[in-house]
Amino acid sequence: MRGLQLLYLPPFSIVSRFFLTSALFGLLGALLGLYGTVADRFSLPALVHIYTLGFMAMTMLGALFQMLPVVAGAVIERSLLVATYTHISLVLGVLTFVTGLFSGEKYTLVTGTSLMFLALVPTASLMLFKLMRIESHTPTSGGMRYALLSLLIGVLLGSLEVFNLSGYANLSYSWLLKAHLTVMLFGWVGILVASVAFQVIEMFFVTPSYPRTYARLFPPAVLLSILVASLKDVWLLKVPLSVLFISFALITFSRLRDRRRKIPDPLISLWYVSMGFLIASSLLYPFAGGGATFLLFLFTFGSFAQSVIFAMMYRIIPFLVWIHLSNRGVPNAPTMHEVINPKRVWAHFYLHLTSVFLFLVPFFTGIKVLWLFCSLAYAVSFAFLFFNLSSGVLLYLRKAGWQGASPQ
Amino acid sequence: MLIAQYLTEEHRKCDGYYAEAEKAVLSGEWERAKELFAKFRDCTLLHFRKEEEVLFPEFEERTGIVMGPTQVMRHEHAQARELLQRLESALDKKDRDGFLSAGESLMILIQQHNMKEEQILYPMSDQNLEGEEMVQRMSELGEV
Repeated sequence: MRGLQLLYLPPFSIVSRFFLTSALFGLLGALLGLYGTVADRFSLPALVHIYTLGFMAMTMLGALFQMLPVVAGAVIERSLLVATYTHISLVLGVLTFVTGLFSGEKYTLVTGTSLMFLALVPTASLMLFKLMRIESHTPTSGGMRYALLSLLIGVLLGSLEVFNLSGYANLSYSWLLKAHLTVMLFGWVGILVASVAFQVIEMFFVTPSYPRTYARLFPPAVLLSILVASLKDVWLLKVPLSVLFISFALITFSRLRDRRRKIPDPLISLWYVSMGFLIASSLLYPFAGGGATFLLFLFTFGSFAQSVIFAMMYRIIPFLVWIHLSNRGVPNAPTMHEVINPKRVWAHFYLHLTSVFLFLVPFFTGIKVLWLFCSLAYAVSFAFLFFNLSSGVLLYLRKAGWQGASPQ
Repeated sequence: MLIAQYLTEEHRKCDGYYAEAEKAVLSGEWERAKELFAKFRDCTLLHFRKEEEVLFPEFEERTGIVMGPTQVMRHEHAQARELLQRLESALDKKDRDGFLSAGESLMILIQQHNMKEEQILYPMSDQNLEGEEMVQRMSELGEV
């Protein structure tokens, strides 16, 4: 019976390894950008994928291992084993795949793609299977099914793209690229963020709930709109997708504004910033055929995801440190702000805004040398994220060690 | 009335009381914060009592599941009680940061606890128990 599995709390090492690695991949991405600026050798696909796979997918899968049992009652048996497999194959996959994209070397690219396929498809299928077995769904658990389905479709389309490029298939590359990008960004990332928001915004910030019918219909409506947008490359067919995400961002704004917990919280500010970027990228999306508009669309969408991921990480890690230590019987286990001081999160929030600003300046002025500062700012931002998260993990290890128990 | 509806409403009321207490702490109105926190604490403990004294035993008897979700919920209630004490001692010391830090942990603990109850335990209770009778018995302990 599903209820029996409530006992299950995934080991702390699962989330911590995924989150710490994702911060390192973010840093690696910034250094790749820095190298690109200095050596004048820039690869957009390599940069995009080190960020979307190394930072975003890494965090989102780690968070799903933690969230599925809590929000959906869906437990993955032997989760440590499954998570270890996913983590190692994802790390190897991202490194090889991004190297392949950067070098343009065919066999590295195909090997990287195969590794990514092996990292993502079994885990996403298993998570989807667990969710499909649940009889009654909340908007959150229901939405997660659509997000995972989108991830699987996106991986398939991406793999086809690579095989096409490598001469193993002969399909429309431009259609594949756009369909892959749309389903990955709006389907996988967009639906997952919205599904989580439907639950956590109301509960953590004490806000009015999202309209129930809206929350239930949002994920299938997004998937349908992705299908419509992929029919033909005309801006009008992309408008439904934009409207859906703008409506989500506006409803989230109104929920946050009406929250009953009025405490100044960097995580609320991160949610506000994130929704602002989501609106900007949704406005750009129908017209992002290529060139500068396309780049700006990618940047605004990436900043939406990055802001919300930061907010999620800074909430999940300190809470898990406390609950795991408390479960071990550690007296006076450190609470949220004792694990990561809000001053540090505020500092990171302003660092994040500075990085965004330092991207926009060279983007609009065209002054090339300024990209150097932009890459440096992102490198510092991700290094600071790694420092903050690892100080939380180290605190856990120290306290758990004091109890004479081997840390999980 | 369904058990799920009755107890979910209590969750939301308690959340609101906490938000009020937190606001008072934030503005340094310590006496008011103590009053509001006491209301939040009493309501939360009353809600726990309704579950531990009425719902859980009945659930365990009807379903035969003794070492399952109800045990986890009891364990989380104990963790929440410990945090409530830490919050109370922070209030006594007028320790704003200590209150907000423990309060944040308590809120997340309670919210993830509520999610599990609302999505799993309460629907299972409504399937297996007499809803009207259970609500009646819980109401006799007082109103949140």
